[in-house]
Amino acid sequence: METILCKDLDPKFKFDVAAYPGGENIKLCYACGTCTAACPVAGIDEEFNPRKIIRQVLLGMRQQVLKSPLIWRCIQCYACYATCPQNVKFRDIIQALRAMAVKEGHVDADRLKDVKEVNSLAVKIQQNLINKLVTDKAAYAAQKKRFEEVNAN
Amino acid sequence: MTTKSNKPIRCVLVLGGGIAGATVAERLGRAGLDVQWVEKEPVIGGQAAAMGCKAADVCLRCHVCVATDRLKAALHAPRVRLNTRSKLVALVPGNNGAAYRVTLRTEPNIIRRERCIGCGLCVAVCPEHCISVKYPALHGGVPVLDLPLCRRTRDKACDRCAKACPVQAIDWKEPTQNRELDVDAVVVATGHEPFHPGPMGTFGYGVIPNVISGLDAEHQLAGQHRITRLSDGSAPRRVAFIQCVGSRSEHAHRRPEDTNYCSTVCCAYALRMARRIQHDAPDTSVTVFYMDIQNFGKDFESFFAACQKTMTFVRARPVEIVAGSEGAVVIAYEDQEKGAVNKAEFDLVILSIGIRPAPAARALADCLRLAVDQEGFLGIKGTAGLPQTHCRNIFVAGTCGNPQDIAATIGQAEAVCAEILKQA
Ligand SMILES: Cc1cc2nc3c(=O)[nH]c(=O)nc-3n(C[C@H](O)[C@H](O)[C@H](O)COP(=O)(O)OP(=O)(O)OC[C@H]3O[C@@H](n4cnc5c(N)ncnc54)[C@H](O)[C@@H]3O)c2cc1C
Ligand code: SF4
Ligand code: SF4
Ligand code: SF4
Ligand code: SF4
Repeated sequence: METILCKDLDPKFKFDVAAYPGGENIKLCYACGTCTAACPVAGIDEEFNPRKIIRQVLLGMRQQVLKSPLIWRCIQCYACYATCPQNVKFRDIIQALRAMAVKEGHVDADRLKDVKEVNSLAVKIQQNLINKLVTDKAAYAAQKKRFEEVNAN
Repeated sequence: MTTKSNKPIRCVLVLGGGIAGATVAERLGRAGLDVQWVEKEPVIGGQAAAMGCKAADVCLRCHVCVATDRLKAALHAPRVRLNTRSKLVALVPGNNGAAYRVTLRTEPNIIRRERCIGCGLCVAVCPEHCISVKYPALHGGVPVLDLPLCRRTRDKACDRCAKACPVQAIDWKEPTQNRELDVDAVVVATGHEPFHPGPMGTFGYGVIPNVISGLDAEHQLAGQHRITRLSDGSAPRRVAFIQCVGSRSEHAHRRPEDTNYCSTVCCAYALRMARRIQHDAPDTSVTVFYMDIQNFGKDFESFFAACQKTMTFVRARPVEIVAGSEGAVVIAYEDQEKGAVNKAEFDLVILSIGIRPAPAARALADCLRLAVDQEGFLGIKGTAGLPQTHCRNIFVAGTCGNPQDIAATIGQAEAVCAEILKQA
């Protein structure tokens, strides 16, 4: 169980997020967890949890959320957006949080560009593996091993 | 607004043969009014007549039996003229002081109920199996004919049923009739449509045999008095209920209407079914996936507390349901205590579907020039009282106006009767 101190909370945080385009539905969240169950990142990364990030915003944990590396791990895939019963649009909320993190000086403005670069690199790696998988299984196994080794560091 | 008409109400048109329509027809008929009762199907009953008793060791007050008793009483009430396979096609201002002149279209019933002795011979001979007995508790053995399936509607010669019938109750010559009537008031009680979970593709309804809807479970309870798996007919040992399927969601159905409302009946029927299942087989585990349980009625709190002792309540809305091995069903959801995705296996999954406005409600509202609320239910709701139609002497009762259970439907129908009798 995590202890949250009221004096550290910023009750304005959720209104600021809601004021960003795409953030307007954040207060409708039911905490049902459909987004987390649907999210491919949450599926491999126990720390990343869309439902929890929404709770933190609603509670007003401004510093923790905006400073955290977690908000940069989303791959903008829309799975949360498509499955949410309340149309909370968490993918867009991530964009709002990233923009706020830049604006409030937690990271420099290049971060937005850099993360895009990482995402497209990841897609290129995926393409590479899938092409090998289709044409040459042995080459696929070798390539996969190489990527896994690189990824382990 | 219902303003007082000059002429007292003598003749009332009641649209819909569900529990709401039955309550109104019976009450008004007994009070001495003339009732023209209209049902679009060949038999009355609506949704509740096809549902099953959920009593465990004691009655759990699901009120399905009350509905059956009320429907039966309406069939035998004085001054009630029942028109089955009938629809309202036009409504204009009436003559001779009557509020409205209505046109009813009646399609042939084929099987004449006043002659039929319920012997079942026609059911046995039909090559297309289109004759069946619906709601025997209400109508005895008198069968109905499902016309779209019948060979004659596909231009083929067939008269096996008519030949088999010992009392000439099957009449192919009856024509479609249009009738005009003057009525002083109209009660709209055309009911709802249970949500069909097919469009929620990720839940596997219609694809995975052991994923059934709450309505399927109701039909099983009514027909065979127990809930079984479709794959092999066995009694499930691990049952899951998923709440709010088709309710409280902006997305679930991808239809134009607003669907973000609580259907109000599904928590209650699901938990009663679960109790029933555990009463029949006490070692059955029940898991309920919910967002929050909506409690209604003063007894629900203690009932819910009792359920929590024998069932597992998981706060999560699953994201996907897939087929497991040997008929098992796997549910993927977020385990919120761990904050991680979890997969759990069950023998049977019941989707607690909710109440939707009937698809034809808008056309009917246009015909009657009725107001429709933003979710597509009839009438405009204030903070209290009956839905307002803004048409003189037109009333709305039951689930065509609001999602509600049988008890609330009966209450609302009684309130409409009181309004009408004030002007009788
Ligand atoms: C899965 C499920 C389980 C439920 N279980 C329970 C339970 O255990 N206990 C409980 O209290 N409630 C339960 N309910 C709620 C219950 O079904 C409703 O409260 C009840 O059926 C409402 O009755 P009604 O008369 O308003 O509508 P309906 O039962 O829908 O009846 C409407 C009737 O009107 C007819 N009709 C429709 N349009 C026209 C037209 N244009 N002209 C003429 N006739 C027309 C229809 O054919 C039908 O016969 C459940 C609901 C669902 C979906
Ligand atoms: S799916 Fe939507 S309502 Fe459910 S927890 Fe995620 S954001 Fe909230
Ligand atoms: S958009 Fe981001 S948070 Fe949403 S499901 Fe995809 S990766 Fe997860
Ligand atoms: S054969 Fe005739 S009497 Fe017998 S059930 Fe059919 S319609 Fe009724
Ligand atoms: S009654 Fe329960 S299951 Fe039905 S919509 Fe409301 S909360 Fe969901």
